[in-house]
Parts: sequence; C-alpha cells; structure tokens
Amino acid sequence: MAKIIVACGSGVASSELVVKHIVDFFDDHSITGVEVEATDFKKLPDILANYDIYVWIARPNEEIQTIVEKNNIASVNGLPIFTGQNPEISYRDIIAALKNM
Amino acid sequence: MDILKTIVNYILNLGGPVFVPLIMFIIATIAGLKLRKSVLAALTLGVAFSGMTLVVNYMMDSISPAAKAMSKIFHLSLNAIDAGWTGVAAITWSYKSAFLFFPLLLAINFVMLSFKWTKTLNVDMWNVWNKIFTYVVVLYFTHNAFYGFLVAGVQIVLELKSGDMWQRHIEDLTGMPGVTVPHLVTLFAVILQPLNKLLDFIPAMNRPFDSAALQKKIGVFGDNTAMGAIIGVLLGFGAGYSVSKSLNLAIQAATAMTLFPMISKLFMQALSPIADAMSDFMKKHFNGREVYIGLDWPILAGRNELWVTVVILVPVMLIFAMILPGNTVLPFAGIINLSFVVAALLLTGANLLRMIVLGIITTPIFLYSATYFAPIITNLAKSTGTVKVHAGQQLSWSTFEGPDFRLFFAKAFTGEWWAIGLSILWLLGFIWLYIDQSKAKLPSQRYTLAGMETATTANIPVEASSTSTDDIDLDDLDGMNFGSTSKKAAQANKSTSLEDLDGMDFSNSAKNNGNK
Repeated sequence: MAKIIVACGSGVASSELVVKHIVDFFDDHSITGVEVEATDFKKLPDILANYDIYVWIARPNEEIQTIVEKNNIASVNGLPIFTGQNPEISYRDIIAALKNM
Repeated sequence: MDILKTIVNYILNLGGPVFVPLIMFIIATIAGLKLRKSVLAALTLGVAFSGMTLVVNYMMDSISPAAKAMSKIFHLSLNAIDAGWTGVAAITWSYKSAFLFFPLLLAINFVMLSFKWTKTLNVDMWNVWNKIFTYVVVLYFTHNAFYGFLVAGVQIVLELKSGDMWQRHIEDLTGMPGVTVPHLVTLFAVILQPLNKLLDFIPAMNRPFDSAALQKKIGVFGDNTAMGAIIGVLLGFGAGYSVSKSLNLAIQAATAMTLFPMISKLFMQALSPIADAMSDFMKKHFNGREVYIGLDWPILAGRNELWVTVVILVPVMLIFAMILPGNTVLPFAGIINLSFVVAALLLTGANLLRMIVLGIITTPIFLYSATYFAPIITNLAKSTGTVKVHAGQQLSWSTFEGPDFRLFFAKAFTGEWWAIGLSILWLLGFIWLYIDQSKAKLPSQRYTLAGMETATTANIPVEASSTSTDDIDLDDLDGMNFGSTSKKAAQANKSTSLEDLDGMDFSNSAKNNGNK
C-alpha cells in the first residue's frame, strides 16, 4: 500500500481539497492501492516518516526537508493541484514517485 | 400560490442539516456532476452537520460544568464556550442563504478583473463561509438583508485588494510566484499597522530572529490532542475537581479537540464539487491574463514564525481570559489564534519578536470581541438548529476573525455615529496600509544585522524533481494498483540480515530516489 500525505494549517480545508483532487484523479484512472491523507503542519514532523510521498502546498522547512531525505520520501510540489493551474505537473510527479517505489 | 408557499416553507423548515444538502445536491447536479458523486457530496454535507453537532454538544457537556465551577471559585463569568473557527464555520454553512454567496463572490471578482481593478483571482471557495458569517453578523444588528450583502460585498473587494497588496511579500516569504492570500484574516493588519510602526523605534525589533530552533522545542504543545488534554487538566484543577475527574476531563477535552478538524474535513469533501466548478469557471474566463491566484492562508504555513507565535500566545490567551474584567469566554477550540497570526506574519515580514509582541497586545481585542459577539454566535447556532445551547450558556469563538471590520461596519449600518466614524477611519487605515505595503521592503531585505544581508527566505529550490516525468502519459494509467507497493527503503531494512554482511561492497550504490 502506497501512502501519500498532504499538509496544511489545520488539516481541514486546503490539504483536504488537494487530497480530494488526488483521490478523484486516482479514481478516474482506476488507480488503486494508494492511500491519501491530510494532516496539519504541527503534526507533520511526527508522522511524515510513515508516508511514501509528501505533497506540499507550503514549502517544506528544514526540519521537514531533513525527514524527507532521511526516510526516502518523495516530495512533490502540490501547488499546481491547489491552484488548479496545470495540475498535470503534480500528477506526473506523483505517478513517477509511485512507479519508483 | 399558497401551495407553492407551503412547499417552500416546508423545505426551509426542514432544518439546515437537511435543507443545505438538498441545495448542494441540486447545484452539484446542475454543475454536471455524476449522480453517484452528487448524492455522496450531499450526504457527506448532512453527515458533517450532524457530526459537528455531536462534537460541539459533547464539548459543551464536558467543559461547561467545569467552566461554571471554576467561575464560581475565581469569581469569573466564563459562560461562553469556544467552538473555534471549525465550529463556527459549520454552523455558518448551515445558514439558509449560504449558497448565495458563491455567485456574489464570483460576480464581484469577475467585474473587478474585467475592469482591471484587481489582479487577484480568488479561487478559495472554502472561505466563502466568512462572507456568509459577515452577512449574518450585519443582519443580526441591522435586520436588513441588503446591508448584509453590501458589507459582505465590501469585504470581498477589500480582500481582493489586499491580495494585490500582499502578493510580492508572499512571493518573497514562500518563494512561490503568482499566488496570494485574499483572506479576511490578513485585514487585521489595518489594526496592527500603527502598532508595528511604533515598534520601529525599538532597536531589538529591527533584527532578524531565528525561529527554527524554537519551533522544535515547542512543537508538541501545538498538537491539537496534547493541547486539548493540557487545557482540560488545567480546567479540571481550576474547577476544584479531584485528580481522577480532572484526568477524565483532560481526555474529553482532547477528544473534542481531535475530532473538530476530523469533522471539518467532511465539509471540505462535500463542498469541493461546487468549489471546483466555480473556480474552473473563473479560470476559463481569465486564461492567459496575468493574475495572482488567490488561495487560503496555509500556503504561508511553512514559516516557522507562524507556529512559534501561535503556540506562545496560547498561555497568554488563557491568562488574559482569567484576568480581563468582563470577559465571558473560556478559550478552547479556537485558542490557536490564526485570526491574528497571518496578518502579523505578512505585516512584519515574519519578524518573530514583533509578531509575539503584537500578539500579546492584541489578545484582549479578540477576547472582548468574542465576549461581544457571543450572543450572535449563540443565536445563529440556535436558529440553524445545529447546536443546542442550554440556558445561561453561550457559544463563541475566542479568536473571532476580523473583529474590527465586522463590528465597525455592521454597527455603522445601524446608524451609530461612532461606528460610522470608526469605519471611515478603518478604511483610511487600509489605504495607508496599502500604500505602505506597496513601498515596503521585501521581508527578506527588511531586517539586517549591521551591514550584513540575511536571507530569511527558505532556500529549498522549487524545481525539486530532477528526473524528467514528461514521459508519463496521464491518459494511460488505468488500472494501476499500488496495493502491494511499499517504500524501497523499508523493504531493504527488513531484508537486511546482520549475519550476512561479510564482503559487502557499497562502492556502486547510490540512493534510489534520494535526489527527488
């Protein structure tokens, strides 16, 4: 099971929106076996290591970057999905990261 | 006619948790959503309402008695329980005319973009709720729906203008071009601006300050669950409960705090089809124009200063709630002051010391606003039937969003002279802020050590992926299954046996996807 995490301020609105888009994308392409979850930034450092892909909408700070590198997590820029401008860029990165696993 | 009236009244009287999902279903169907998805979206919305009702009632039942007991011991009057923005947003979404504000936002943004009065294209449809809430506040004071729409409209215009104003600062703070935050919370900068100008005279406030180290230390206290437990146990002791009763209260408080965001997520899931349809419509019409995409504030949340400030302000808020005379609000679910911190981050250019000082100074504003607006939130909760509030109890929001703007403008339309004066003063303050921020140095260049340039922008490159992914065809993915995939690193760990290491050669190994 591949696991993706998205983070935002309260783990409620922005991250959930991005999660919804990613899940819809997987749905539309009948991609299965991927879990996509939302969380808030305060929790992120504690749980990030359990995930395979981190889709970010706020640039990772040093602490997050260190965790990402140490745990071999693929970090994907989720802003294209969040803004709706060329979301394909993010989807391609996510698929590439999934294939790479 | 009478039959029609009866039908309309019948539908309106179904109550928010049934009526609003029904509207949702109709809109989703018109927007061309598949039946399965629109049914699910409508049901999820209904579930979100009932879920929120459950949690708010649970919170009130466990916290209110303790707040009452503590008020008696310390001679306080903390009878308003804090539902936080998640609670208030939930109640607001169940308001009857909630969905009218989507087209209002679209229309104003459309006109302003067409006439080039703004460069901001707001696609943040989630925060439509704070326009609805403004409408509700104005309606409460003036009993005039037109004034309600008018003030909500003024708010939308000001938000778009602030989006234009903040964009270059946001690009500097986050390194992300072309995005901005046209959000009501940033307008609190109008109040912060004069205070921030005064801080210019204090030399210590003009130096950069590293907050990354601090954040690591206080990280755990910022966790919703931990914070709920801490407040719960303190409240228990304050109420004179026994140890076992206090510990039980701690768990109950932690439960409420943990469940709030979980329920709130459901709103987002349910509303996203509408939000998508709306923002697609806007983007289609302004394709090719240079616009700043207006997003919700969490794009700024990568800044450590923001989190350090709000966590430091938690005890400050609790202490103020105890000592401020006349305060009725017990800070709980809304204790993380997001209504202050975003404006402070942008205005001060992420100067931690200034943010904390401004936060301490303005905390009483939020508590008194929460006290003042408690009857409105209580009334809204009662009239939408989402939450039952017992007699002698109130519901509020300790970090009430945009307290200045909402109070002045709502009161101005009741014809009170002080409010009209303050509204004009507020607008002048906004113009000052706008001019000042358009000239202000970018955050990364604003605070310097003697003769030394310090970069405060994060230095992680945006173009993170070095492997080309262009060869991935998004139309040819059907049926992929990652159910049995797991990280290579994890697999490697499991299969490595410590007894079989002799003669290993690492000279040719490189990390598989380390350069992502």
